[in-house]
Amino acid sequence: MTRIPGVARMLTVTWWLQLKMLSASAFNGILQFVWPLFFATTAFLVYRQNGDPAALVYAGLGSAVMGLWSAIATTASGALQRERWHGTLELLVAAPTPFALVLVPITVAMTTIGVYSMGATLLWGWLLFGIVVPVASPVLFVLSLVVSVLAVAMFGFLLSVSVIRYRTAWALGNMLEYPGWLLCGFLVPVTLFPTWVTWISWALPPTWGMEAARQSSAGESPWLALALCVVLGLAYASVATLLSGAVLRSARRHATLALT
Amino acid sequence: MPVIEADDLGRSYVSTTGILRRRRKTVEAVRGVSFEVGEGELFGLLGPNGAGKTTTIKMLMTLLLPTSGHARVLGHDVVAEPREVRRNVGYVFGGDRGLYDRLNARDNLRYFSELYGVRPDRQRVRIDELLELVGLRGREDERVEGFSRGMRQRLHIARGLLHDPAVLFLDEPTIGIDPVGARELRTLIGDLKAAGKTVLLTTHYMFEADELCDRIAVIRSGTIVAEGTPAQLKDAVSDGHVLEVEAYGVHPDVVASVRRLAGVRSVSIEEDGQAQRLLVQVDQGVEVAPQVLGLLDGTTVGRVVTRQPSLEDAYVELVGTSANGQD
Amino acid sequence: MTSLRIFFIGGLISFRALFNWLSPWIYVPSLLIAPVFQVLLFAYLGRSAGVGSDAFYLVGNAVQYAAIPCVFAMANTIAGERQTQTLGIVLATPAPRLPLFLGRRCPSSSTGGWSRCSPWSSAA
Repeated sequence: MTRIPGVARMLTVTWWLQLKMLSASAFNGILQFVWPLFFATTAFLVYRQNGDPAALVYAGLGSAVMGLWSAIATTASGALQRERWHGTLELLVAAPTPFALVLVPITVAMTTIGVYSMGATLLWGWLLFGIVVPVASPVLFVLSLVVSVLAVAMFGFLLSVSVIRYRTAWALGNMLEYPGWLLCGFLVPVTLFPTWVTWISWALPPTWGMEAARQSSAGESPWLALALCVVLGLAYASVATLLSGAVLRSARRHATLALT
Repeated sequence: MPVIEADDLGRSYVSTTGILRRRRKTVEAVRGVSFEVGEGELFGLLGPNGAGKTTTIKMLMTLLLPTSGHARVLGHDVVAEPREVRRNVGYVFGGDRGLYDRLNARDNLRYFSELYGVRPDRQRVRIDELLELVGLRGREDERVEGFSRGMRQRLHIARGLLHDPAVLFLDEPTIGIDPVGARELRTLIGDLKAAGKTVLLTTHYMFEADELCDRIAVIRSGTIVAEGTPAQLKDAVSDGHVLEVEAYGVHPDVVASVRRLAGVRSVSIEEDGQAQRLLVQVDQGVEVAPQVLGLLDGTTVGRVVTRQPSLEDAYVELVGTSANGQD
Repeated sequence: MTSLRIFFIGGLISFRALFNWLSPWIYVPSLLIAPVFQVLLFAYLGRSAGVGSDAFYLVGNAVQYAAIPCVFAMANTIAGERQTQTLGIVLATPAPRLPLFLGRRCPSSSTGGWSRCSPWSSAA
């Protein structure tokens, strides 16, 4: 296997096939992108009272990115449980590819599903509330979204590895959905929070991805936010890789790979 | 140099029960298992359910860390060099799981060929070759969720062969498959050996081990109780004979009494519809038929046969059975 | 008297039977922590938009959270019976229907009341 091109190809093909699997069950996905839609609508209704059109645009863009977070918060913690249930977790571990490189495409695929939700929310906002999100620099905007997807996926990677030992991991994941919506500044500016809370917000990659998306939509320079998003994403990925090594060794020692 | 070496392998599990007063229970699934498999050999690990076959194979496969002992595959230690082992070994296990139901057969193979580092320019050819080999040509674009167990098993084998490994671990590959499908699978396994692969097969069907394996190790309760070629194992019990009595409603106490008779090596009972077959393995030159029939007084008795032991008898004796034929 | 027993004792036993998956690991995140954050989300939303007061959102969310288990409880008890394939057996008993089905939703509804307490305490 030749190094970088080989790894890139492996990551792309496995991402694509995992995405195919996740998309195959449309019904399961419906709840995932309808749920943020309800909250988005509530937010729009509240902001509309305000009478400020800029506020509506703020909410419109924010609620679109909310879908990415929801996609990963609700599914990442169950990622390995799902593999275990398929009986494929052992096979993934038995492959010569490092486990981190096996797991990353899975969480990226899960986050990519969130992109459907993003589109649905923007459409919804436009159709029902007349919200049009201006995009001053389309290239930078798309770049911000792509970087957000990848950074959120790295967080998902960490989440999926951290909760592998808990069979009710899905509940822990669900618990993170609202805190993420609140802390990442999707619907509410981070500056409203007490100082110690903003530190937590700034440690989350989606906060910077959201910031970059807003800046590129408004025509400002998103490069600082993008850079911070990338750095945070890589940091989470590194921690997750180390943790995955430890978790796998523990699973091999305590024979927990096959248990359903 | 042997391809697979197990040296005093052991694996124990510690489980805790209870919430307030936690009690620790240690179960030794595998104890002191040692064997060697040479290149191109088809080695069988034969034993009843719960004997430790799957645990042994998983340790060799680097999925479980041994709690004692060592193992090497192709010269690489399974604990210290797991990635080298994984690169050269294929792992196939029986049952319905282990495949992605929502993908079709080809995509399943594509996924695993990426994970096993099959070269991109070789992938399509290799996948086609393997689908042809396992007889799934023409079904590759169907979703796996619609496959029968036999088809899934064949796809499993194709998956295990993607990276053309030198060694193949097959864990009960014919379990739960209809006789015709199972026979086709066994033919396939025989072809793999003919192609020069080293195969370690676990099974609890002794006729399968007899048919396929060059050498067999019989494992029971975590230890190997016998090892050798099928012929050697049969020889081990060929002195002596087997007394087979067909009876209706044999009481467990009677079986215990028969076991205590002088010259009796082992007793087992097989259910055959309404009737039961009492199999008594007896030492050379000892006659127990009259005593056994005496103990069965009051029970309806059918055919009584004295015959030479088969591999099945060897297996039954080695594995050791309780009164109702279960281990 | 029988109806009372069916309502309370039968209800409690069937609650344990059908909701035995409700371990603290699920309970705490879903019914205690999530509502707190939902209230915070709406309260900050209101502050950001300058619409409504904190108390407005607190009361609204508390009522909503109390309502959710009540709404789902009844549906889940029947769905649970179907899943365990005991619905036919239960219906074939001579037990009066009203206490039978209302009794089993009582414990799950009271979890709603309990979860309502957490946003209140967070407000304090």
